Amino acid sequence: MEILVEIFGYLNPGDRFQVGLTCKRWLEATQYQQFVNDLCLAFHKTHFSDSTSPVSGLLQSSRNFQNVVLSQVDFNETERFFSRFGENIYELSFKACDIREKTFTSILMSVPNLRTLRIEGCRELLMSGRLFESASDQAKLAETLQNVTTLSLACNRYLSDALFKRTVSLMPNLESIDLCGCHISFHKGLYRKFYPGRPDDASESVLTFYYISQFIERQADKLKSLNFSSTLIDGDALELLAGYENLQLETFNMNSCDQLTKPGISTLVQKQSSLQHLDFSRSVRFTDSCLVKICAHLPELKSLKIRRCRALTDLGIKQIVRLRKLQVLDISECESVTGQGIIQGIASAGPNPVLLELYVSALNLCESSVIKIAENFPSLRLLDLSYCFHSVSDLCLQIIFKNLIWLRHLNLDYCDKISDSAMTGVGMLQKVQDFETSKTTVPNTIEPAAQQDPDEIEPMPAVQLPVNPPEELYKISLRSRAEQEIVNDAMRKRAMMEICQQNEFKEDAVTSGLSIDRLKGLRVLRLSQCNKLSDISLMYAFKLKELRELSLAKCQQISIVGIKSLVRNCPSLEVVDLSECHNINDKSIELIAIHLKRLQTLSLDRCFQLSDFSLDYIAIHCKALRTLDVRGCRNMCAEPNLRLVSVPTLKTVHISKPGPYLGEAGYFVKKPPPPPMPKRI
Amino acid sequence: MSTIKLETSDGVKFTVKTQVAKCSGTIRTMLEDIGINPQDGEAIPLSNVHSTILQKILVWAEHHVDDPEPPREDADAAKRTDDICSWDEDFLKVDQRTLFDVMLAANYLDMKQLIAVCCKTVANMIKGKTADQIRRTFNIENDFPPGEEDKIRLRNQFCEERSR
Repeated sequence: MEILVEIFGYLNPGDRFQVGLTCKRWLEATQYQQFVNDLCLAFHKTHFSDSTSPVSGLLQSSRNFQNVVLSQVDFNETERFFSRFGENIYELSFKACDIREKTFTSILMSVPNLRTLRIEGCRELLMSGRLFESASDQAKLAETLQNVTTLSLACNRYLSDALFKRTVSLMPNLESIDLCGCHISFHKGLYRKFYPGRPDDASESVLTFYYISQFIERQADKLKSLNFSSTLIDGDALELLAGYENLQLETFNMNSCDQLTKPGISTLVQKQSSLQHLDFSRSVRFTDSCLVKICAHLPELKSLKIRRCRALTDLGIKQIVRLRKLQVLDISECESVTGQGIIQGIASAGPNPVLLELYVSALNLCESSVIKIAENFPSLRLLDLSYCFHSVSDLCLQIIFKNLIWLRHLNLDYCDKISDSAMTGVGMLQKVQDFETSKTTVPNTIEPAAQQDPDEIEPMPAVQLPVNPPEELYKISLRSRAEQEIVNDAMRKRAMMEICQQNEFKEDAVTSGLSIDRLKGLRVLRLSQCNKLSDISLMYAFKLKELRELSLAKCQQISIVGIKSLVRNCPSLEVVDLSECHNINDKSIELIAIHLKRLQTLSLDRCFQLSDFSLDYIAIHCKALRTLDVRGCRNMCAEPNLRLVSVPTLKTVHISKPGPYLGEAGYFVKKPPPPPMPKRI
Repeated sequence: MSTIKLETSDGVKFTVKTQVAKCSGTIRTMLEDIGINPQDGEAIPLSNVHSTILQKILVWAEHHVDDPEPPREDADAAKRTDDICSWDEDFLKVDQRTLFDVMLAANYLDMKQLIAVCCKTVANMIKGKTADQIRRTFNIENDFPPGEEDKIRLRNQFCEERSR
């Protein structure tokens, strides 16, 4: 048994589920505590009742759950479920649930080992303001909730000082508190208005920072993590928090906080030197000098997220190299940052095996900076290069495949220069070798100082290519050029196909470079709008047994030929996006439905060829599907749901409605907007 | 170079370099902590290991005897299975019976590296397969009562990977 557990430890949850279906003994091994811990029981858009499925089914099983997430669920009978499983539950989340105070209180009374509680976007629960009001309830809850260390009250419109007070008073051991998106008043005048004479009584109608800050001060010796994202938190508030003597924060999130000030941030980072995780993403007033302060005062920082802080330039970014313990870095969408910031800054200190996740989406990088990343961060698990339009070349990808073999997540959305050669490695060996030799020889011929200048090492003059916007060129001679492109493309494809076929027989890798199948552990691959990719990549390169999520949206050359190989070579796929792949037909969907047994999410937005046959294939074969997007599939009937009733797990079907698509109402629409097109210099 | 003797379950005696034998945590403990003196010429009994398997394991230990101590990995660090060196890969190209016997013996002998490499090999055989395919690969008998499999599958639908 211990060996089985050891083996299963090397598997992904998806594989572990399959293993658990083979026999009783193996099922038992998959329910080993450590594996249970990696999973959460997730109910989405269902009715929760002890006597009906799915809860009734779970009551019959032998497993237990440590983590439970309930989103958009409504509740009926909960007693049996929670008296049976409550004792084992460590983490409990309610997201946009319609739940009554009584039900909620009784659930919380049956989870004595709870460590994490999330109440997010639950309007109905907090609207009346009566929650936890009864003294007898409070006494009981203070017992079951005493071990709670992490509390989230994010996105609650109706949270008031009084509610906040009652909630936190039940949890004396809080270490982390999340108030993201709550309507907190930071203005002192407002506080005076609502607390005219008697400051001890918490207000039922407002949530004030003043009140929260008093709690933070009292709890200071225990609190480690704060989240004030999407609030109007300002510089004064930061300075106040920074000044609490016993407070030693490790995590502070201030995503989308527009009122921050430079003095506030610099006081915070100077006084709270224990900080390890910071998030200032989308906070417009975050500037280079704030970043310089962070880099100077917080050498222990492990994660830094400053996505879309538009004021940042290379000057600040270069300082990040001083943070030697950084594991996660997000500098996406900082429009003024260029490849130089990477080359001379972040990646200038030689190989750095500490960094695990790097997000550089929508930056104005150059080819050599991407190569530099691939060469200097050998431990990267996640790399986001999406929207780096002209900087990610075939050569870059080859270097990535060569060095970053730990990658689990690779995002190349909208990197439209990538071709089949990069994916398969065909014809790339020479280029890679040229690059390697140029790297070793250049410093010999030119004086060593030249190493500082990336343009010298750069084998191809690709840096700062678009001096004049190429669009105009295209417009003038659109027709002939386009025609030529098509002809060239067809010829190139044919040649590639031949080489690949030959290679398959000969099995010799002498002429070819590296293929993406070197990244054996890859779990997420995004290639939306990589228009040059064709079936060839799918046939000869995508042998990714562990791949869980794949986006080929807008890769319009993909057809059934490629899909056929894909479903064979990537059997673990759970999320597939083929939106706007106009060559996808019903037959392709049939293959997907039959062979991808684990498919949970399928996006087929605007695949015009698809008809009701596709829906029928899905209805017959996809037993695990949860979300399907068939918007804009104009050859389908008007009511796709009716054809899919036989898929019991399917909870969300996106279909076209008359007029523009508006998205689901409520809490879940809060998707980040697509990144802006980076300015081209 | 000192040697010690090992005796397997079927009574075969092996003479092994001490250094090689110490790849096994179990033997190392016997020698160092319990103080069995190998110079006596007395063989250490390995009652759970058959001679054919021990032979195989000794070949592995011989090859890996000079390996540096692997870096201690975090318990929750992502594990990879594609870093099996080609020598090991060839070494483990054996029938399943042998593979599992090697694994059990390695477990008994407490040889962490060998266990890891065996587990990775088996994990690679499992990855991407459906339950049916896995059963066929390892000749497992489906001992679930009828209908049970569907129930488990349905319950699995509500278990998700936890996002951190």
